[in-house]
Amino acid sequence: MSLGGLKGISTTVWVAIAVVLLVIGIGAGYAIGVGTAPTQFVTEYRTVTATHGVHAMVETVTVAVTITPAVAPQYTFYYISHGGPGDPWWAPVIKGAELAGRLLGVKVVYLGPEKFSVKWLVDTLQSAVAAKPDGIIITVTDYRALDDPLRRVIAQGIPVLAVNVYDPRPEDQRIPYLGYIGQDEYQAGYQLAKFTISWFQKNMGRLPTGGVVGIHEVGHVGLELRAKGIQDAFKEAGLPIPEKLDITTDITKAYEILKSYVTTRRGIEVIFTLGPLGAHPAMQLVRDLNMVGKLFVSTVDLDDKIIAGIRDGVTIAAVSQQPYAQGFLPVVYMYLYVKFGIKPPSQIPTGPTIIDKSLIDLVLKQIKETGGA
Amino acid sequence: MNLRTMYYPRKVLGIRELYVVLSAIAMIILFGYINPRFFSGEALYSILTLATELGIITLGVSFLMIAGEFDLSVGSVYAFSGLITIWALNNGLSYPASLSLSLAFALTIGVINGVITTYGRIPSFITTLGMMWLLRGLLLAITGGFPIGLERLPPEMVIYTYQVIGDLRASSVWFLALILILQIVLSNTPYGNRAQAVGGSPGVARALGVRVERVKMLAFIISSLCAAISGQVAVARFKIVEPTAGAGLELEAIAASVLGGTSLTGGIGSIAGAALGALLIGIIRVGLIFAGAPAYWYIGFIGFLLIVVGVISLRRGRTA
Amino acid sequence: MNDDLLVLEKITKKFGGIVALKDISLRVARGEIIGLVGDNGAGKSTLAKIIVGYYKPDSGKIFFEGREVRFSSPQEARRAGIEIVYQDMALVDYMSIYRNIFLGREIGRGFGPIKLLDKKSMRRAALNLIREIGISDKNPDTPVSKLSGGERQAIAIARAVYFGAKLVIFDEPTSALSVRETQNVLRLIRNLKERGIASIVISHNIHHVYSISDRIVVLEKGNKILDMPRESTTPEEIEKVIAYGRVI
Repeated sequence: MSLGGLKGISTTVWVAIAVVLLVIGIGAGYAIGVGTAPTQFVTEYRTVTATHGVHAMVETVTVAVTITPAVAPQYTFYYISHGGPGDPWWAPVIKGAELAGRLLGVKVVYLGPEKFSVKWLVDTLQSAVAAKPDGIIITVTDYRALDDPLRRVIAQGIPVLAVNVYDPRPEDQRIPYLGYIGQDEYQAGYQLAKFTISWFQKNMGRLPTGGVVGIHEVGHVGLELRAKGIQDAFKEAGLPIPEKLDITTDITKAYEILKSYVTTRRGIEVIFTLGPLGAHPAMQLVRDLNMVGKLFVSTVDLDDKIIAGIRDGVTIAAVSQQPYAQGFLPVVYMYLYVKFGIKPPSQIPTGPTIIDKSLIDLVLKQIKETGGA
Repeated sequence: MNLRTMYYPRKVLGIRELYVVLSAIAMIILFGYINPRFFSGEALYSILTLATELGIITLGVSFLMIAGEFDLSVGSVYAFSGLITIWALNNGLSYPASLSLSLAFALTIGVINGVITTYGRIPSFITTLGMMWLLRGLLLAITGGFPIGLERLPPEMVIYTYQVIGDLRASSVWFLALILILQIVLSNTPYGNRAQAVGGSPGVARALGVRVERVKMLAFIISSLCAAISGQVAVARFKIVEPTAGAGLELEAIAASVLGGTSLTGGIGSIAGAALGALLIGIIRVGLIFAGAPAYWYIGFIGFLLIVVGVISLRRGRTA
Repeated sequence: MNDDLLVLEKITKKFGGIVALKDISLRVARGEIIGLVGDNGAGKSTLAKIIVGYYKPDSGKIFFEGREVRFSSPQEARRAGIEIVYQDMALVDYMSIYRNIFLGREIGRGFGPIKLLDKKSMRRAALNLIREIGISDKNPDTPVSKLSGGERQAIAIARAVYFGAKLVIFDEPTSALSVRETQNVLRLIRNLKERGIASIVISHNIHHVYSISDRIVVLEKGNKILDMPRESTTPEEIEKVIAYGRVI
């Protein structure tokens, strides 16, 4: 059981020695770190060549991350998002950031978790900051958890742009990032529900009798906000508040859960889903139950299946928050700031845009070009 | 011949912890080569922060694994005890009171896990899996899916966040203290001796009069308490508890334990190894960020390492 | 009568409907070596487990050192001075010799719950024991897995002696051992006799048992069918008795 039998030193003593060494090492590391002030610019040719092969290989799979600009990158930006490789919605975001990086000669490192986690976000932010990038673009998924860490990052002089989720507090209290690019999640749900209600009034001459919200990742702040928006819109219209249903990220489970729900409850006319992970099984269900025209789906976020659903009348509308723009614009604004000192506006909205049958062709073009909408 | 010169001369390669140390050194060199900024104070603190929160839980999980059982509920205990602390503080209780409540909760869960496993003879894997889901479900129901925030951070919680040097937090000091304490308990107390025996050879231990059930019970309690302590550190740092907090942490802790030389069959392992395993995971996480590598390589890396370590461990068999 | 260490009076044990032991009476004197033999299912293990307090008899009495006893657990029996050495469950193979010897009875310094192991004392005691049983080139930190089967048995026996056993029961002590190791173990059991420690040796190997025992006891389907001094019989006779299930 002893770590060392070397010269008769027991495990406990080894551990104590290690602890002492660690403390000394930490002190030394701090002293050395403070002594040398690293420069802002990064010339990482080695990284460029090393990842180039990997980049090409990874691109064919799904998500490419490290950008290889044609010229040596003059800046390095870290894009830290709560959206990881498992969520297809973020694919156009990464592509957008990638293109912007390439065009501007900037290295953009995109980081996302395997599954949604605020802890991951904070931990990764702190690690990324230690690498001393020229700018940080981050989703402010929980302003309370990020308040302290981001303030410290900003105090160090690293510019920060918020994307996709923002700090909802008033200007003088919120985290002092340079600006926010994205849409309002609550508004996304709210507008979608309102649109759906007025669609019913226009096309059916009455209000919907009831709805349900399928949430595929309980606890995901963005999704919860969307759900709340939907529920509040119904409440305001005097309609029964749609229940929140945990449909999980597994398509089969989602299908069955929704099926049980709509077949055992009376008066459910709309299934609200908060992303493609929920929309696909919902639309499939409507078709399988032969209830096209009687049971509808309204969802947040788009892909070609959802577009097809809109065209076929299965889906009433989908909300687009322009993921590509959420990838592209922050890099551009950060570049303008770092290179030219141009301060970005405090709010650069990229949505919500409600897509219904009338806007399909435009959206199709967007999807073709960017991979998402 | 006297006792000193007779200490069992272990072959250097026989030390289980050696593999972790070698891996750690290899990783450091690799990541430092890719991005020399990795050799900085900031990188080190980043690694230590990650390693501390995972590490505190890993210590408890490892201790229990050495005693022959698994605890899959640590992630949920970590989150739920954090929730209790936040709830108590938001309702006006002092921090010492809130901390006591959280620890009492963790103790209770440890006891329940222990009783069901040892007296109910249910495999700990099942017991704690059920407990993990039970607590997670409760957590989701109580929070309604939204993270619960701390209205005001009490001054006492600076014992976790106080910055000792640079970005190094006091929580890392607690981690080091816990390593020492548990190491002493495992290696230098009668209880520790019995725990080691009970883990791999419960029959022998029982035949010699060791109260196997009691030994395991205490180990379950240690595991849950460590999870709660890590939960405190997290609350101090994030000031919120999200409903999905800690999900997956139990597997990471087991992975860190195995990487550090703890055996899945019980009896064999070390506290130092567990800490090193958590440190290794921290090094890999931060290293990958510094290298600008794709976001999901982290989990592939860890998985690969785990398999390699598992194979080596299996082939070496049961020797300390 | 007053010389007898252990006296069993009409011990009966049933498991459900099956009678494992019926009216077994037995006497063991101080320092006596009893060879307990019989075919499979005869009840040898059950009898051993009753003596060490693992089972309670359904009827009958047990006297140890002249007093009637009713052990509620093996720990109690151990405290009174009765130990059992199992063939395969005696030691924890990944732990060191000294840790094994003191498992459950560790030497510590301190008070109350805060007790630290006194490793120096334990190692020294272990070293002495090691020397006594003749494995003098091993040191106490050696993991038990590095020892041979015979050496492991020796450690287990030494442990029993160290903790003041007065009666040691051996469950198949020579089954997995080489010829040389067998002789070693048998020698050690004889040594116990010299210290005044009594032994009950359960074994399938009549010859091994015969060579060291003072008395042979044969069980058959829960009944005692033979109980005589070794001089009064031969290994071949005993084998016949076991084979036929009765005294010829």
